[in-house]
Amino acid sequence: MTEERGALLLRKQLAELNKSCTEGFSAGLIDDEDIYRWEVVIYGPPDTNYEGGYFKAHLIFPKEYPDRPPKLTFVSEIWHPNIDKNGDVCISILHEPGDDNYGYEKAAERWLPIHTVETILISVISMLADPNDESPANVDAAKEWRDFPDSFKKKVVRCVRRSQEEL
Amino acid sequence: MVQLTVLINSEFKKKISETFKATVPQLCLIFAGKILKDTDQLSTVGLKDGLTIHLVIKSANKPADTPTSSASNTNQPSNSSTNTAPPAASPFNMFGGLGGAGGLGGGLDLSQMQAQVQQQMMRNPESMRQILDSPMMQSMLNNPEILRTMLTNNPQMRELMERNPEISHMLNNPEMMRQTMDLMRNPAAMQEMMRQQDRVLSNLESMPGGMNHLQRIYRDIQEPMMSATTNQNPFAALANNSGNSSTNSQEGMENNEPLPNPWASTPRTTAATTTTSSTPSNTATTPGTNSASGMGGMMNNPAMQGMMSQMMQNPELMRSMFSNPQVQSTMNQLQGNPELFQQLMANNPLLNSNPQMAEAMRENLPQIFQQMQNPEMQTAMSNPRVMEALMQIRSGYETLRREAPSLVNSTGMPEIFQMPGFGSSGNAPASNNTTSNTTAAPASGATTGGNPPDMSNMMTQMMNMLGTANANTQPPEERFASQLEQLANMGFLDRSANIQALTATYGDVNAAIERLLTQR
Repeated sequence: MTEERGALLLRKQLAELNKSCTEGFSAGLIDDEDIYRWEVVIYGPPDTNYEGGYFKAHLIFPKEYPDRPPKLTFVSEIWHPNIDKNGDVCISILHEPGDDNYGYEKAAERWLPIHTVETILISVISMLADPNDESPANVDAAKEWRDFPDSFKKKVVRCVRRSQEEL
Repeated sequence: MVQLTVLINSEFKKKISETFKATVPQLCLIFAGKILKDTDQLSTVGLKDGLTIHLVIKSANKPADTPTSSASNTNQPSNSSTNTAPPAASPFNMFGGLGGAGGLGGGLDLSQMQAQVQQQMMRNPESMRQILDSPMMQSMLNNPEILRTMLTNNPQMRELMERNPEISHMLNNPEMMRQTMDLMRNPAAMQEMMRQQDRVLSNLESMPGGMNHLQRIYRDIQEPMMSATTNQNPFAALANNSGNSSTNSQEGMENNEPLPNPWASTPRTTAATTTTSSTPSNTATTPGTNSASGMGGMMNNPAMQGMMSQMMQNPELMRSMFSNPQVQSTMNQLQGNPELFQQLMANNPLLNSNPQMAEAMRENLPQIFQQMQNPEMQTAMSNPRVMEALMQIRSGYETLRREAPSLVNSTGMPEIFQMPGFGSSGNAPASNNTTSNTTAAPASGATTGGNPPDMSNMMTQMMNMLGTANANTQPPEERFASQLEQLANMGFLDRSANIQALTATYGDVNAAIERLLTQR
């Protein structure tokens, strides 16, 4: 039952996303047969270090969606305090609901069943523009972002250029 | 317009490059999370008319590429036509969307459509009230289950409920829902209630400890509710609008008048605030008005079925039903669209639990409709005595079949008697194989009234069909000719008002009268 509901929701979102003009990303399925596995291209937000980048990412939903959050992994190389070296994105809204193991997130900031592909990606885009160094997934990037902004920027620009070469 | 099957990406890009004044190598197309390769075929990547594709134009001198962030709709004749909102006075469509009922509309645009309808409704409280006043809506609104489904299907509402458990609790209270709907329908009642509330509150305040309690209520309930609803309350706009139609002199003032006596013979306004459930005023004379498209849940509720079986036992009701123009037009529609019917059948739990019967039903479908269409048949149906006679024949046939099955099979009884929905019993569907079907309808009785569950089943189908058949092309004068005559005989002489009322009530004379009276 839950499985059907999730698939239904995702299918609806897919149809809407395909039709509407989404700012800042493009989303679709990796394989048309599997509604739970999405691939997205996220455009680096303007006026940030990531401007001009086209970052591919995979958004994998659990069968329990929308009760449990999906997992977002960047396929393109990207240097960011909240994205670990494997590309896994660490933002509060993608964290499992319920008790907070780390004690720094409110329940409202964590996963809620109302989140959709669009709201997730908008959060990610805003995360790109505004990293959160309180809970870094990539400690090196976080330190660099805080202490050596110039070399951080250089690394990001390299990622952006690489993403453009993939086009 | 581009031929999707013929052009590969590179040719497609050539066309785009002309439009955007850029060279082909500068272009990059992104669709559904995929960066399109030059070798891709547009059709194989699933690009269709009306879908959005993102275009990136790389600047000529690398590396400072600049994206055109906006998405361009490349296939110009986009889907704008599918987006246009249906007229607000078309509740059937609306509930196709809201209830997520099958068989209606082109699923993809439902949410958009819904949003547009919603907007329209907000701007036009009068049409909202009209819709809410229609008997179909009333019967629907009296079913809390349907309401809840509708609400939970609304993304705005869902969000609201998820953020605020108190509100979802409130929405789960059927009584509350019903009253809210009543109020929406009747702005005067709404104001009346607000006025009463003032008074009650001031009474409470004067009680010891009352003030504290009120403060707590305010803090715990009203505040979170207000904050939750300010940005996204679908009804907020309505509340603002509905005040326009009749202004209350007491609005915004403290109310010191005593409460009206709820037991006094009340005008409609107070009745709406105090009565609990208004039964749908329409009788079985116009079953069509009762139907909500695909609302199987409602149709299957015991009260409904009871009504149907009653109907079946009463030739008079049958007659009026078949003379209802809506029923007739529905038949026309359904005949043209057997899939619809099949879909309805598939959704019917009664049939699901009985595959044999469902199968038989499906097989007989075309015949049933042909028969129903036959004008002779219709006149026959509208004669109570003919009906009675048929029932008798049917029961005689029943006996015959029980006592001497071989005889029956060889005599080749007219097919009409073997059809479901005609005459008495549920074993009828197996027209091809009358004898095998006794298990399907163990209760097939000798009573002329027949077997209620099976009959009501049939009726359910018909009701369902009615819901989907509102694309009526006949002008209302023709559609409601008999009702108009009735109204005229009762002394309602304003023909155009009568037509209006009948249109609004989908031909329900009683509801139309009520409407006409309240308008005066």
